Amino acid sequence: MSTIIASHGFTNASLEWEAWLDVIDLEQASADQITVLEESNPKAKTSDYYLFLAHQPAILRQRSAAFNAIMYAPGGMSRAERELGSLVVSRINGCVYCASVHAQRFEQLAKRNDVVRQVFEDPYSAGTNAREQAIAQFSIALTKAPNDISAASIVALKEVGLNELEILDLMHSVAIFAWANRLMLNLGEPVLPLTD
Amino acid sequence: MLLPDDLAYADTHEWIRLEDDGTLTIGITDFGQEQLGPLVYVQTPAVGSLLQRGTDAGVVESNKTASDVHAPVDGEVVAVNTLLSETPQALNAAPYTQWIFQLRPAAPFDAAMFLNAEAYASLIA
Repeated sequence: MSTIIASHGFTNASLEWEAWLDVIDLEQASADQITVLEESNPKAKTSDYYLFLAHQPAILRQRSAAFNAIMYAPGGMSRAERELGSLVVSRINGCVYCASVHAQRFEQLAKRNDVVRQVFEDPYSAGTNAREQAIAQFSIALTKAPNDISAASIVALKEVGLNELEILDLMHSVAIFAWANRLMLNLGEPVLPLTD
Repeated sequence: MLLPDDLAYADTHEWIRLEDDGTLTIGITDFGQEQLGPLVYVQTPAVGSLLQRGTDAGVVESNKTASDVHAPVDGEVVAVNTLLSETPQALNAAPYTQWIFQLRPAAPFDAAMFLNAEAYASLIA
């Protein structure tokens, strides 16, 4: 078990998420809703997030296909760095649940949580090396002011060694969680683990 | 639950097959893949890398979680299953066919250091 980090309202602890609106009732669900839940995630049938999105099974199906393609496509940016980009955008947008998920997955993949702590503490200075700092800076910029991204922003990533496929993966990782953060922030709230 | 008799098993849910040339073929067990669920990513070690027993040799990842794959013994990675980078779910479908990496052990393989099928079955029961 990793060290639990709690800082500025964010944590790498496992959280639940509770919808504010009605989720689908599995006993009343259509065959298509059941199918898309089974396709989406092993925990989807017990997750408020998936059970809510399953109101629109066609959109959930597209969401899951996009998520898998962006986060798991072979080649390009490493899995850990994709999680780092997603962690930073979630930190900036204030999505405590998403940040916890990406913090945990980064840690599982990278076998360390130093940069997770940094992102929670101060995302603007986060990064254990120049490459991570550039990834964090770009993720922040794309989240806060996408119109201000320019060729210079790309050059800054190339200067620390990212190739164009890695940069595209980073953009996609930030973009899909810019969207997912908004869904989770507006449709429900994180449920923190019980403390003694 | 598939559990071939001709393999050795680690308590971390890898299977190990001793090949005729002395190399080891390593994958994850049917139980292991079932616990993870449909795989979305498999990270293999670099060919030529030297691994120590128990160290991380790769990662298998599903939407649910990511899990390390461990080197069962000291040795050099001589091959990886490149199919899994494009189609990780092939491992779910055929866990004992879709190996992850092959290792040339630093010392002759001793199956007695691992579980046989019966002992592994007891472990996961």
